[in-house]
Amino acid sequence: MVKPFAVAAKAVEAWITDAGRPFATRVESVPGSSKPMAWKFKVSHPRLLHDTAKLSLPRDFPATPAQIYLHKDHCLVLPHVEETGKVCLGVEATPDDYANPVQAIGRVLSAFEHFLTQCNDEDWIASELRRECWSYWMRFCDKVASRRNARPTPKHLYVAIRGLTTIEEGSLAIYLVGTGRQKVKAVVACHGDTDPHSLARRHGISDGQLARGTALFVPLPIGQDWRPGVWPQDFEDLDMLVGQLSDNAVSVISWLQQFADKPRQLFLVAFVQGQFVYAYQLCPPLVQRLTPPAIEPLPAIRLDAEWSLTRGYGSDEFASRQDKRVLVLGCGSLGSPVIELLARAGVGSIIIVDPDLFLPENCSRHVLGLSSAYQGKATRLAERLTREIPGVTVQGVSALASSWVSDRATPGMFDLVVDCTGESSVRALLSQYRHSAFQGTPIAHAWLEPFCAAAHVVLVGAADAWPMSDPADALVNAAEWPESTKHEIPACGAGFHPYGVADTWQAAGFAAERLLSALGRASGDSAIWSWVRSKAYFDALNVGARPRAIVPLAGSEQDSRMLSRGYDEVLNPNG
Amino acid sequence: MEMLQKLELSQEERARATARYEALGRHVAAKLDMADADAYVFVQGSMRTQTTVSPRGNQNFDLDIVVKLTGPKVHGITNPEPFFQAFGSALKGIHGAGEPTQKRRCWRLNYPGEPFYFDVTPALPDSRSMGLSVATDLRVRDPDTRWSPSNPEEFADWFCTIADKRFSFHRELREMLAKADTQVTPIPDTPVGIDDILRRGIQLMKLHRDNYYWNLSEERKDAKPISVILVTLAGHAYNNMVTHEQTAYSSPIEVLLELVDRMPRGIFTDGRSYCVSNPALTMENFADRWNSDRGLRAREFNTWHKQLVADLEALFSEEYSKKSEARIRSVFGQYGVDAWKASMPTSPLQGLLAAVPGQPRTNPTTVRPQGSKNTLA
Repeated sequence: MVKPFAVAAKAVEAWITDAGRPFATRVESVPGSSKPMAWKFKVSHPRLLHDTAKLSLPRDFPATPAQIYLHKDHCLVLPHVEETGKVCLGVEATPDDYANPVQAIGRVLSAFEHFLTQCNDEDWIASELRRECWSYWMRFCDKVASRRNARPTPKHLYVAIRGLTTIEEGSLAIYLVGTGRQKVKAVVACHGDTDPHSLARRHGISDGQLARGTALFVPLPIGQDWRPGVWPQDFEDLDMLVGQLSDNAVSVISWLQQFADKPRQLFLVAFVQGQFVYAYQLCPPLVQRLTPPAIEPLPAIRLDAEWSLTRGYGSDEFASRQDKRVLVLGCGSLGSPVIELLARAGVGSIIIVDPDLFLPENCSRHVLGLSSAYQGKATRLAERLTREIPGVTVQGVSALASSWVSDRATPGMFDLVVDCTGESSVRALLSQYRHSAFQGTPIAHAWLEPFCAAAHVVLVGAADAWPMSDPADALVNAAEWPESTKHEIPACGAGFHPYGVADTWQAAGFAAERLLSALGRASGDSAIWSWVRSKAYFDALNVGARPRAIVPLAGSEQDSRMLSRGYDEVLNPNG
Repeated sequence: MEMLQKLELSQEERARATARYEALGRHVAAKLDMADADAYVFVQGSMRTQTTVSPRGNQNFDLDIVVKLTGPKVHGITNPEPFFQAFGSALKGIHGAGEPTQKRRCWRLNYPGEPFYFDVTPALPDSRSMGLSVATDLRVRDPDTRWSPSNPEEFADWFCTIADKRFSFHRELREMLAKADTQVTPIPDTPVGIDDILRRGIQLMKLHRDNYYWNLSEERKDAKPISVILVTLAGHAYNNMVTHEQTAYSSPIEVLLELVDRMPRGIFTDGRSYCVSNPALTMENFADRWNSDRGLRAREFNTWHKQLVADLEALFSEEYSKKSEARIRSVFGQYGVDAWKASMPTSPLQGLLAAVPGQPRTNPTTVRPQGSKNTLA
């Protein structure tokens, strides 16, 4: 049985051996080697530094198209040439390539020809290099770092930026590991007053011996030409560029001289264009003032909230969300994923109140796990989110909603109060404290119905108060339920409702989406949102649930609908 | 046993009842234009012997009150009817008592809203002057015989003298408890507060009797053993045991079972007629009616007594902890269950719970918000 890849490779080999012989020669490999088949061929172009190229047949050809390699010196000179010399032509495999493998080679060669044609245009080359400059920067860093005389650079450089508009000084936290000749494991850089060491500690990247350093943050205008060939290659280039960008107000040399008494310190110049940071490490000369400092380009990754949580997309909405303060009561199977979603969405400040300890059986539908056993759900989730997610202040309180609300909450503290307890007593509590604790703040009640057959978010606007009669069962819920749907366990008043994490996290996603929209809305109007499974789901439960009008009659057990209802319309069904 | 204490009027209710009957005496005296001292009011029956049992359901305690009238106003009354009717009129208008209704020997005052009602029997002293053949302190109206002798106080004294006699294990128990105050000794297993075996036993019998007859025909109900016979028979049996077999018993339960077993011995019969004498007035036969009903009451007594013996043995042969609600209900009815529950250690809460204002005793007039329960998270 001959395999399809072998059939295709044989066909290509036969074609080149025959028709292609005058133009291409087989690159010999050691017999038995697993290297792919390749042929060298002549190519003549004024922009090329060498006149040969290579056609390589990947071992999984035609699932992966054939590849063209130029000499690796073309990397960072011509666009789309990788550090290995591989030319990224953007040719995709097609199903037809199995039947016509030679035509597949033809498509690759056509694309290469087109590439070479475009390379005649200097502007095209520049604009392509600019367009993908971040990936070239990485290659640039690698290339520079592989020089024989390269200075040691940190393994990871993390940068936090927020609202950088002018050239600003910042500070570095440097983490050294090893004994004797230490290596820099990580560097965290922040501008302004932000302390990089606190940030590193918060996110668990502060491993090693701490050293301090200083940084200069330089914003690059979006229109600034920034690409291989334009990037500073040495300290003079860099100093000149900074001078030019600051109308000669800032000189890196002068800046460095302030720290002449700390020659061994690490210095960094970080250019920021759009969402991306292009940093240079400045290495002071061995003999002061004899030679200029050496520079090493560094690939930096941002860990601030704007990048980590949005990649810079939709930043206005995100910035407003960063200012929001939310109180969440209840950190269970609904509360914990809702809180996680709010935090990852960038809500700036979250206080979680829940008195419960995390127990092993909570693993089934909580965002925490066994390492939190016997610890407070609220405090553990707060710790975890603080460590994992930047730009959000999460505080966990192991307390009953009642005592916290009564003792701590005051009007104006929050932009939104979210009740994820599902408890009637908490709804009554919040109604009672509507004015003394939450005047002017919308309150959202989120809950699930038994078997997660439906989920509801009731947004009680600042002008309304949830009725003390608590009409959740009677007016909001999608069904009438039998007396007890709880699965009893041999413990007082305990038990659980049999639904799974996939059920509750759907509901959490549903709820969080609406809570975020409520946070973003200028009007504080009340609303009721529901996610309701179809009647087939209720019927399949076979527990005697009586679905109401909002339950869709059509659809399978897997189908559901989401709907919005007017608050007054639901609470006053008779007008 | 503890549960039986719950069958009595509470202290507070007892105090209210006492206040009520003192007011009643003053009222009657005023109405009949007599000095207060000439209308002497006292209780007889179960309240006097401390063996009250609340009847089943929502019925109230039956308190027997005697108003003994003396002085010039009543001296020489010979015709009972005008006297009885005049007394009835005098009972009208007592605050809170309601309208009096006429009974065979007494007037009933319902006291709406109170957990008890009064059967008020007017009595005159000096029975000899009325030509009765025996000397008693009192005479009361009887529709059949015009006047009937009565000596409730002597009967009660007889009973109480017996009931206050104690078996020796009582003393041991008390001594053990006293010692427990000063040194660490094991607390006795036997439930405490079971001093009053005779009174508690009689309550138990009455409760059992009331429950036993609850669903039976009216005819059988009418023929059920009357309380005074139970009190008399139990009193005789207890007196015999406590006098002659002081150390033969090791627990109150044993005493009770033996006591119940012996009760029929107090019925004197020659096979055709029956006699249970009033121990304080031997010519009075409490079982008089047994002799004119073709044996119905005698049969009822035997049937019920057999059932009582069987039920008590079944109940007390079980471990205390196994005494289930169902078991007690089958023997003593719901009221027994309630009393048993009230005797449980949770009872201290009862007073607090009762103090909560606005507890709905009947259907509430407005909808009370109950919250929602099908809201989970």
